[in-house]
Amino acid sequence: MEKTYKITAVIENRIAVLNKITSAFLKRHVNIESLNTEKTTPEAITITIMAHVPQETMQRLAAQLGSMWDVISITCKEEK
Amino acid sequence: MKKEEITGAEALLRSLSAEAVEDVFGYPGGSIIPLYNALYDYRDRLNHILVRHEQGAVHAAQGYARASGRVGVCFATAGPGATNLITGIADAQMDSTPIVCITAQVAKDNLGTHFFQEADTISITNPITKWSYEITHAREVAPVIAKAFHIARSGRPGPVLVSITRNAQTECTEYEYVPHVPRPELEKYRSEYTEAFLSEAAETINTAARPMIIVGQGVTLAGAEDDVRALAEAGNIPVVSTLLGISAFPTGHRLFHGNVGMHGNYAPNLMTQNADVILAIGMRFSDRVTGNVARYAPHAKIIHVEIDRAEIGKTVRVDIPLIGDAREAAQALTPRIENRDRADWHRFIEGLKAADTSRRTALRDGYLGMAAAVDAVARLGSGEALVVTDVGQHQMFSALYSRFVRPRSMITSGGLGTMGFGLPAAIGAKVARPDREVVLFVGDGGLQMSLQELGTVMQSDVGLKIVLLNNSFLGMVRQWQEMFFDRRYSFVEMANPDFLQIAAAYGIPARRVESRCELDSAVGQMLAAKGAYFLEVVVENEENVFPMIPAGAALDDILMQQKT
Repeated sequence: MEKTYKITAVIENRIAVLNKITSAFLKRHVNIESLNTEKTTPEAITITIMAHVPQETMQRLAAQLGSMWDVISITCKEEK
Repeated sequence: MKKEEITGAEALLRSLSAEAVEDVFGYPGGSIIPLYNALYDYRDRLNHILVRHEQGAVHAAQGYARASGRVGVCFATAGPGATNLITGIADAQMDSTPIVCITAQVAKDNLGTHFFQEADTISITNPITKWSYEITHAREVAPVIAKAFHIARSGRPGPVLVSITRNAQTECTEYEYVPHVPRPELEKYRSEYTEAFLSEAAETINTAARPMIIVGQGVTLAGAEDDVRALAEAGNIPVVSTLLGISAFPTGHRLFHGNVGMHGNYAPNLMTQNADVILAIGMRFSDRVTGNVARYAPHAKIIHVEIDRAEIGKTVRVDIPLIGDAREAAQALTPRIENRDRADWHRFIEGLKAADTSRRTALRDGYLGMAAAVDAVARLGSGEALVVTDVGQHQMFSALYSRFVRPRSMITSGGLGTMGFGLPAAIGAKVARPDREVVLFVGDGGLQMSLQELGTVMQSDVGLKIVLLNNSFLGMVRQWQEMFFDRRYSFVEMANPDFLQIAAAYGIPARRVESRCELDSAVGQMLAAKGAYFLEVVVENEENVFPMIPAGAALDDILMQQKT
């Protein structure tokens, strides 16, 4: 069953990292419905993504994002 | 005092030397000329192997890495040079192979102008690399190379791509090399199991009546071969392997029973379906291993030792995850494992092995099939050879009929299934391990996908033994068409050249075998040859690989022969 998730990732502040994040969504055919990026420290950018996906897909996606070297931290919450 | 300034190109070569790189596979081109110009002065420190196509360079780097356990390195120019690496990078990502690909890029000021030989290498490779970076200033070279090597080899290894713009190669920079040490919060791999998990895993194994160990490539990557053997022996636990785990456990060991998977052995697949505990070490439960996931290992509790937490529960439910290094986990488990007799379980397995008729069929007297050729190399080479394969039927026969006494002895394209992988990967393996006998098994289809690398064999005098198993078909596809598509042979027949003339053109001694009775003497002649040798074995045209689990079927549905 599809649910809406809010993914918050802290990523390294450099060119190409956002591209890596979005290509992980593309690989699993997940549409990004909302995307916000903000420089939160000189080294890091916090991105917030909203997506509507099955729970299993979300778990795999979050696991993949968490294993990326340019991703400092990641949280994923279901939105009611 | 001001530090010495050198060009970015030289900084790159010095950085490679600082990472103890000795061999590089590559192909020059416009944007990478400054790097090759610097390489001219480093020929005494860096052995550069000139390949015939960039795909050959990346596959050779993969073969090098897998044979040696070191990071494989390749060079390619911008644009087409970089895009020609894509297949190998994707293959290395699937099979967790540590490689660093250095590709040139047009100058920073020309980026985004459709400059000659410009391609957006970073975007193209993003989804298939473990990490990538585009260097646009010479000062970035040393720290980026240090980080690239750390990431390629750490934890679950993988491919890293470093793109370097032309200006960054020619600009000067101060050079200082500091190995990369990530901040603790950025370290991606650490053991995440507690004592309680270890105890639960050990208790589960100790109380099991029908336990088994599945060995994956993670055992090799962690250098855990001896530790896993000690673990299996401590508990008297039968062992099987995945395709990429082959040679991580000695094939002649009394506890070893073969390979699982679509074309694995009969017993290991049936063992999986009957086991009450599966200890899976360094493997990822690929679809080729599980068959129908819903019917996979119905009675088993699964203990999964895996360094990449993203793999835990990805396809198969896991009862006890042990996230961490295979070697550490095996060492921690062994003292907790109790030796159990389990005579019924071992007897059951021997019964399964005796019931496997596929071997007798494939090796029957007078029949020249692929199995006979692989078996001859295994027998006459005493299982000492490092076997490299391409992809297809010959690959599965190589996995089924090779014997191994040493680790890191089987190199094959598993996850991506890349035809054309074999010849260049074997070149890389032989360059990495000149002390070992390297034997390539390749089909007539796959050989012709990277045939040009015979030029590399010739020029760099690579003493590789090539066994062409020629059935004049794209055999695996033909087998599927025969079994599942009403024998509608759609574009699988190959009109082949005279391969002996091709070998002769490259100055490689060659022989053709067309009957079973000649096979042993020909293989003996090949193994006795000093340098490279090309043996063409003309095998049965329409042989099928068995055992086989049809796509979507469960492991119990394994076929040992054609249904009539």
